Parts: sequence; structure tokens; C-alpha cells
Amino acid sequence: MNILAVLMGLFAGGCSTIQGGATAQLTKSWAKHPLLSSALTFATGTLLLFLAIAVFGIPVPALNGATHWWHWTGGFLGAYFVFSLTYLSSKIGASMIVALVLAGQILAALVLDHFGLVGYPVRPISFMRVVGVVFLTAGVLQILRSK
Amino acid sequence: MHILYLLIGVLGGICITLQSGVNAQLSAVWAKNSILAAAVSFGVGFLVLAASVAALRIPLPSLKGTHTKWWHWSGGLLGAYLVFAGAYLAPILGAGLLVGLILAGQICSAAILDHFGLVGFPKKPITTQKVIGILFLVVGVAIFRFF
Repeated sequence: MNILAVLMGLFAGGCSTIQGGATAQLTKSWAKHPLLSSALTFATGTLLLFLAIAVFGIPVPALNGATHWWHWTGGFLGAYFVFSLTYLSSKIGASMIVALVLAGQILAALVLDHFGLVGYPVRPISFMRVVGVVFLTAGVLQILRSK
Repeated sequence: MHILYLLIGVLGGICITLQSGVNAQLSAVWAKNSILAAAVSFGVGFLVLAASVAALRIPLPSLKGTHTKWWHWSGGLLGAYLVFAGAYLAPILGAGLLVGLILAGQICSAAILDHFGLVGFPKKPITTQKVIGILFLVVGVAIFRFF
């Protein structure tokens, strides 16, 4: 693991926030319904990624027998996340949504790491990791409180 | 708050963490490339969302007379990087550090965007409380990096 990987991760977080803002504005200015703006976001993202594949000459391997059904569910997981955000936005406050999604992310991270599932390297849960979760949670709660 | 909302929200967070792992595995087992894995994920996600838009009969507004700016449409580019980064970084960083870094990136960028009122966010100057929250986050991320 190197500094580049860390920077890429941070940058991904930054992109996520900007994406939220941009798509919210798209909803306001054109789509009116958040599912439509999300569908468009996914459409342009798909096109750009396939464009990159063409431009970089990335080979598309033949479908072998090595994949299982769940390998192809990434898109469903992403779409579900969009649905949940859209649905919950009209039911509970933004801060609560942030807190719930974060709780889910951290819970999944600890479990997936502990068992080394879906290709994550095995990192057993430890006292220090729990301390790390406490700090992450404290940080987010502190910021939510300051809004 | 209804327990159903809690479950929907937490599941959303779980799906995000799962998605990076699933796409990383798709890359390892078939695509051999994170961009291709991200493209497939986005493509499937788009199909699911497009089907929902159709099923819910969400109307497609005309572009005439709207006041969209170019950056309203940038969500796809940003999302594409996010999904690509997730697939690429999952096996390198592990779930805990990946979640932590993305979170840190989100919070820091949110503080900056809020402070300057960018991307349609209302102007909200950074406060000492927010800085303290960010420091907690940094400690949490550092713990996941080293433990």
C-alpha cells in the first residue's frame, strides 16, 4: 500500500461529495425526480467508462466459467443505494441518513475485513480497530452536530 | 423513527462497502481491469435505474427552457471514478481503510464546498467544531491504516 492509494481513496471521497451536489442541482434544474437524475448519472458514467475502455484498448475477456452470479451484482448494490437515498430523503433528515449509511459501511467493513470476504484481505477485528471506529464515528457525529 | 427506515439506511451503507469488494472480485476473476469492472457495474446499475424510471412512469422533462449548467451533468464522471477507485483499491487498502479514506475525503470536501458555497451548497463557513470533527476522522483513518 502506498501514498498513491491513500490519495486515490481521499480523492474518491471528494468526488462523492461533489457528485452529490452536482446531481442535486441536476434534479432541481432539469430532472425533478432524483431517480431520473441518478439514472442519467449512471448513463453518462457507463458511457465514459466504456469510452475509456475503447481509448485505452482495454481487452474484454471472454466469459469464462470462473464468475459466480454475485460477481455481477455490483450495479444492483449501487442502484439499491440510490433507491435508499431517494426513498429516505423524504422520510428522515439528511443527518440521520448520513449516520445510518455510515453505520452500515463500517459494520460491513469490519465484518468483511474480519473474514476476508469478497476479496478483502483478512484483517481480524481488534481492539484498535474498534477504537478506530469510535474515532470515525465521533468525527462524523461532531460534524453533524455542528451543522 | 421507524425501524424500517433504519434498516433501509444501514443496508445502503452495507451495499456500498460490498460493492467495492464485489467489483474488485469481478476484476480479479474476469475483467482483469478495474475500469472494465466499473463499466459493467455502472452498466447494470443504469439498467436497473432506467427500468425503475420506466416502471414508475417518471416523465422525462424537455431540456428546452431549463437552466442547467455543464457541471450539473458531471455526476457520471465523478461516480465513474468513485466506482473504479473502489474496485481498484479494495484489495489494496481493505474495507476499513477504504471506508475511512472515502469518509475523510467526503467530510473534508464537504467542509470546503460548504465554506465557499460551491456546487450549489449554501455558504456555511468552517467552524472550529468541524475542524475538531475532521481531526477525529484523521485519527480514525490513521488507526485503520496502521492496525
